[in-house]
Amino acid sequence: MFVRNLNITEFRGIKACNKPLKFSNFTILIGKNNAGKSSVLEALSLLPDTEIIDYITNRSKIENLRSLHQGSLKDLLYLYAGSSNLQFGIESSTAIIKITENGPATSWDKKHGSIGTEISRIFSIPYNKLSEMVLYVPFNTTIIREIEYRMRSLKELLMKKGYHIKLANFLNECVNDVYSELVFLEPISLRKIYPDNKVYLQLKDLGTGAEKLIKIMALFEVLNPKLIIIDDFEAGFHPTMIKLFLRWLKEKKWQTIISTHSIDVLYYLVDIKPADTSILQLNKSNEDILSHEVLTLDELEDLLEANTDPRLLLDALRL
Amino acid sequence: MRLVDTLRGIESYYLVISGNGTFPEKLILKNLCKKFNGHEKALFYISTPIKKQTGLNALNAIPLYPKKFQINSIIFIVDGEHIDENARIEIIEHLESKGIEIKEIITLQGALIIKCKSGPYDIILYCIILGPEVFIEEELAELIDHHLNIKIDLSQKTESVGRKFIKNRIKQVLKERGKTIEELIINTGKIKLEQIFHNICTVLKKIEEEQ
Repeated sequence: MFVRNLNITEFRGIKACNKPLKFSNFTILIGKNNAGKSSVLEALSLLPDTEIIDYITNRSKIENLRSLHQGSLKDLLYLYAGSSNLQFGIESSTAIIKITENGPATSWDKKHGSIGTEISRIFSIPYNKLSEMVLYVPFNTTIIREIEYRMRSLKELLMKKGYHIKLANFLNECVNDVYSELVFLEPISLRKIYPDNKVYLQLKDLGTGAEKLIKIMALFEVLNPKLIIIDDFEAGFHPTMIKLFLRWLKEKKWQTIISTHSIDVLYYLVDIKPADTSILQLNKSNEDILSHEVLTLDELEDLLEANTDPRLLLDALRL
Repeated sequence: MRLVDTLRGIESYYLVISGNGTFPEKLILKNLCKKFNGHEKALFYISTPIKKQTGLNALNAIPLYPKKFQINSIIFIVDGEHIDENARIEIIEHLESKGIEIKEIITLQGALIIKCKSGPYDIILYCIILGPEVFIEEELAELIDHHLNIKIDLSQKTESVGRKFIKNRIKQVLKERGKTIEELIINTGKIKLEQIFHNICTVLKKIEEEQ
């Protein structure tokens, strides 16, 4: 597991956490709107270091967040002033990212310096490969479109490993169409099989869900990151796609942290049972203190068997 | 009494859990609650959008509620079809298999009140077995007979296919007569409702009496 825990102070809409968030190898964040889910994922997206280039957007991690909010670094600070403090538990060490409007500063086990260098050392990953280590997919269609550029640069690897065919086959299980392969035309397309014809459909014309699925699966497969982060996991996905994608994720070794509003995701998790899974229900008080309750997969299953909706239960109780 | 799905402004409540599948229990409970007018008491029911027939397995979550959610008063609703022979024995056995220690069992006509303990937590569990024999539709059939003078054929109620037929027949009759379950309950006196929905009302009355 890459990141064990996270404590947040004065970042985005979160003033503080009442206790650090502990992650499992497969972690699902639930909670009502504005409960802090996206802020938690954005904090994680700054790993492995703020100045590392985000693989998908080709901007530095910190610039990527600033750009997502279309503002200055002040927009990342709680109530737009002061400083944010993000404390990550990684292996047995503590990495800290401090953000002010002048920029980020980092420290590793209380020593000022690059956390990327330490992560590179600990995980034996060359520094120039760190941008592939953490992949963050926000709920943003523009960024999904931008992935195409990155897919193109991975063309040889995708084809060498046969992913151009495997991904088409995977998509076939989710939709009624029949595709044979991904084809690196301009723009990238899928070869669709008709009984007496073949045509090339551009990825962007598949519909948001299918486009997102193919693109992020392609990246994840080839790059094999340490951590993947997906905000609003189910956005654009039919339940069939949710189920198959979760099943696919379950088989992967990387750490997965996603946010969702979907009861389908919870039902399928219970069916699929990924190892080392936890559900974190986030709740933010009117004073902007982030609290959370942890549910194991067994506990989630028990609640669903009692026909109790865990999302609404925890929300109503404001735990 | 009222059925709620949010707890804003509510301090004392009873959580409702269900082992039934598709069944209008929420609607029935909501309207029966209105007949029991103590406004302070609340039944807290937040069912999943798609309900599953889980029967007594719904009780598996009992230890979770006090431990994780500080909920100690729980109403468990299940159709009689999920009970093989003896509700009391089967429910107790199920609870004990989950490590719950039974302290006291009070039989209230067709309902059970079980005072029990899960770890350090005290729990009061109100168990309501629906339908005189099989399912709530038997009670709905009686309500329809009372209001519309139409007898629903319940002879196939012990068969799965028969139960589906009865559920559809009830829907069909209500549709044909332009009536809803809500309307029928609202227009029925409390005493008659207590006869028809005997086990539910027994528990609602008991809760009303509690301090």
